Amino acid sequence: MKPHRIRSSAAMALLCVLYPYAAGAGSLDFDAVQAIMMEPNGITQRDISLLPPGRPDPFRLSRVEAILREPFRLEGVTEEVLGRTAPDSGRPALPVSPDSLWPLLDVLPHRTLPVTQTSAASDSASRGIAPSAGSVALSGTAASDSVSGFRPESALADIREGLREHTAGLTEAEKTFLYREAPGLFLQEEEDTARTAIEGELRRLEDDARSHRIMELAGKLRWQGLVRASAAAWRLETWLIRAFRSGTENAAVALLKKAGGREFPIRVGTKSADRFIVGQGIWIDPGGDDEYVFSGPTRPGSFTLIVDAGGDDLYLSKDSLHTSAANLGLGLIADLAGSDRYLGSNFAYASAVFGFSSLFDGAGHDYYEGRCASLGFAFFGLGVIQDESGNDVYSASLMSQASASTRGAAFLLDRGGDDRYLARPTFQDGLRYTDHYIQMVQGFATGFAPDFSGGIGVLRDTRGNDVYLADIFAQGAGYWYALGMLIDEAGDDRYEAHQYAQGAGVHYAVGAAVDFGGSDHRASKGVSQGCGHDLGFGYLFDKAGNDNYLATDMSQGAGSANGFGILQDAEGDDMYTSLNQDMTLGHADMRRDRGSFGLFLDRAGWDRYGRRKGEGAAWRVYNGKTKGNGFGLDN
Amino acid sequence: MSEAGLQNENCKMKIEICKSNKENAARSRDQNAIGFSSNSHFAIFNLHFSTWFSILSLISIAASAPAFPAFRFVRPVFTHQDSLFIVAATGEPRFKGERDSAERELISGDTATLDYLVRSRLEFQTPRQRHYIETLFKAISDSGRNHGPVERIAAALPKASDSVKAQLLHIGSELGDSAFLSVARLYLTADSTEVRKAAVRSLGSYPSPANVSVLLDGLEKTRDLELQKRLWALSMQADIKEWPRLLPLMRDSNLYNRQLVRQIVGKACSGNWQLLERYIPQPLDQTSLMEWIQLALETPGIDAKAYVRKNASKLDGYERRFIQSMY
Repeated sequence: MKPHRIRSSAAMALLCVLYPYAAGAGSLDFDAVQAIMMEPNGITQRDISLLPPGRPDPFRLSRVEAILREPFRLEGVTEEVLGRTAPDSGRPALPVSPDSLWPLLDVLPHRTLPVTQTSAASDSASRGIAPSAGSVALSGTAASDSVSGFRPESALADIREGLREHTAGLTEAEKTFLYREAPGLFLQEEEDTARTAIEGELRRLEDDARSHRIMELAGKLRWQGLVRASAAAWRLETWLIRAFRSGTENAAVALLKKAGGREFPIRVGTKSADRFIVGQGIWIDPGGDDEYVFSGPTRPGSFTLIVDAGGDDLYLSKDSLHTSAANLGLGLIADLAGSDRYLGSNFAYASAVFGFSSLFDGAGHDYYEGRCASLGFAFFGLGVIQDESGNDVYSASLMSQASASTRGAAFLLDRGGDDRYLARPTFQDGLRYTDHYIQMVQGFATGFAPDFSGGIGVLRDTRGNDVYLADIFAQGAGYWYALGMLIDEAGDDRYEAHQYAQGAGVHYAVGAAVDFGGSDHRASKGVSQGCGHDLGFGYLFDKAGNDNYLATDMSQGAGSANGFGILQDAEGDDMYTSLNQDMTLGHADMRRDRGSFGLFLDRAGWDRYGRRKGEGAAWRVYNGKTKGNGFGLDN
Repeated sequence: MSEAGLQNENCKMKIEICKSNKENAARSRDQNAIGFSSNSHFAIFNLHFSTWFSILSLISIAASAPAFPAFRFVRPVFTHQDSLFIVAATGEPRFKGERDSAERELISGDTATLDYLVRSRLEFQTPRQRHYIETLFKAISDSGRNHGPVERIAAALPKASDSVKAQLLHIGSELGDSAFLSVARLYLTADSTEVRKAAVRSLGSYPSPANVSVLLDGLEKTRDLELQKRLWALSMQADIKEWPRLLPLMRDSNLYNRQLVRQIVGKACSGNWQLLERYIPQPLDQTSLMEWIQLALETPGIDAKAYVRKNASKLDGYERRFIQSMY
């Protein structure tokens, strides 16, 4: 049977021309799901559309909405994400350009190449909003190799002016209000679980009122200012990186010192061990085992850039929102070599609140530690943590490791090495359990129900045998009009979680866990491994390898409360174990007097199941009363 | 009613913009001392790394801090019923004892609780609280032995907004009290699709011979989820003599509608496949063949099964595999 593609062929053709890397690796094989599972059972795109009528929200991202309307558009968005975060082939790596990522937030990049633009795109452009996937012109990630000809004073002016423009729609008082109050939306304390129910309700009402005020003011921010400033900061950062790589750093520093002025002080270290107190300005260090202590807090409009050429460095950002992050400003770190330690607390390292924050680590076995909203976090901005090689450890507690909220896009891009992604048990998930922890990590995104949609969080690990360890909400999970993705491209990986994980879309959201290679092990208790809950879409796709899957219930291709879940394993001899076999492997319940959708598909290999019918079988579970549209097939 | 009382009743929070310079200055001082927080739950940091840089930075912020519009949360004063409802509606496992106790008190409150729910809890609730309102109405209804919930909903409906109307009609359909049927019928022709859908649901919850003609009336003009709700309501009726009228809907573009049509038709024919077979269109395209085979699968009796065996081989590969898995 000829498979039918859902995606727009024209948009995809354009994407493949611009991002040939993405063309093969990004395929999520939805055509197989459609041909093998859906068409034979009379399931159409209309049936799996999840977007409810109404609920307009100016902060909703077009890509999230597009996927909820047509879930298989996830494939195009995934390919786009892979393209926009792709490494530069054949040249030393550079930090990913923010201009490459802004379109994911429906924001036009600073320098838009007019490859193609629809009239809708033109309309959007006039408002500073990027059109949806495919129709926007894309900017590349690679900067010019030319060191000469760069004018640092021009970049600094763009940073200054851009940051000013970003908040030009706000009064000083409103700016200060946003700066001070917004971070509180993402902080928790351990003692939160000691509240009474009444205290909890008061806190909820207060947070709700606060978030409304914050969103009202955030709506006045001018994205193009932030885009301009972040593009300039990235140009400056990459210029310095290339200067170090070409041995022309002395000339570059001299130029920069001339341009810096009092507003952006330039500090230059030595090749031996230095200790820096970092605030607003630019820090450049040629080598040695250095120590960077982030002073703080930042203030609205601040800009910090660190470029460290080598050495095993220690970065300390012990308290909240120091200059290792960005709050209504910019914070960029580029550490080109050495095995480094990045120690932080809340809002540390690649953590953006109304700003752009990036951490680029070029080499070495590194240790990253944060607490809340760290190591790739974004709210009304971009947070990008990028590690090019080495066996790295990422440790955090909450909303970290590629975790995004409203109008935020957070990325954790690890290009190589056997890495460990650890979520620490800090904040008890009192709403559901007395013995589990809320974490929201490792490719997660959320909004503020019921009023404000969420963002896009992507953890992309390119190579290595990795371990992902978390509890509640993790490893490609989304909540409330948001998209959380975990993309692991190679290696024998282990994924462990408890609930809402490994491809879980919950309450009108999308969660995707994608693994393109290696023999992997996955374990999670429930609402996991390709599960959509309450009009959410969850997808778990494993392209190759002999994999193990372990779950208890509502997992492995499960639809709950009119959600849509798929588990697809394309190759290999796999093993599926589930405690409650009636609620896994193509399970769907009934809600709102109609069936949810849960699809399980294993396309090849000699597989083992903990159920009577498995290998070589097909099954469906619909009975119109308690069982919805659950289907399973093993080829 | 006082402002605080109003807020209490509606649980609508207000944000007050405080313009008092004195208050703001004090607030700025406090916040600089603890970072950026205005609440105790925010992260508090000491100046562990205090250096000239950080001190100067703090001084500059304090000096330049303008009077900013502080966020002031006016805490509602909860009534006893508010407190009971909040505790009873929470899902946190650690509150189980308190929750059960609060629920008992709310249920024993009977009409007073119902009046409170209608007055104070139909808007601005969390999804869990919204769901809990339904739970309370159902518990107080006691499977229709207490008509109080029907009366309260009937009284509240005319003045309610469409979204609340839909919520109340849905609650009514869940009460287990057929007295609600006459209330629901009043809203079958409402302008709002959501209200109509919620009203139709009661016709399914409380089956009656009189419902059939109402549900069939104008059926062809409805579509998607509104059609689904009507078909679901029809599927709950005892006997649909007009079932042949539904057969064209076996080609409906929505799976859920086709499933319901099969369910209704299969039930109406009581396993008499020969009665049904007459209506199979000829020639039968592949999509329709799949639908009729599924209908046969869902119909009891050996004739229906014989039809499946005879025709399953005509299906494409994967279609055949799924069908064969069912017999």
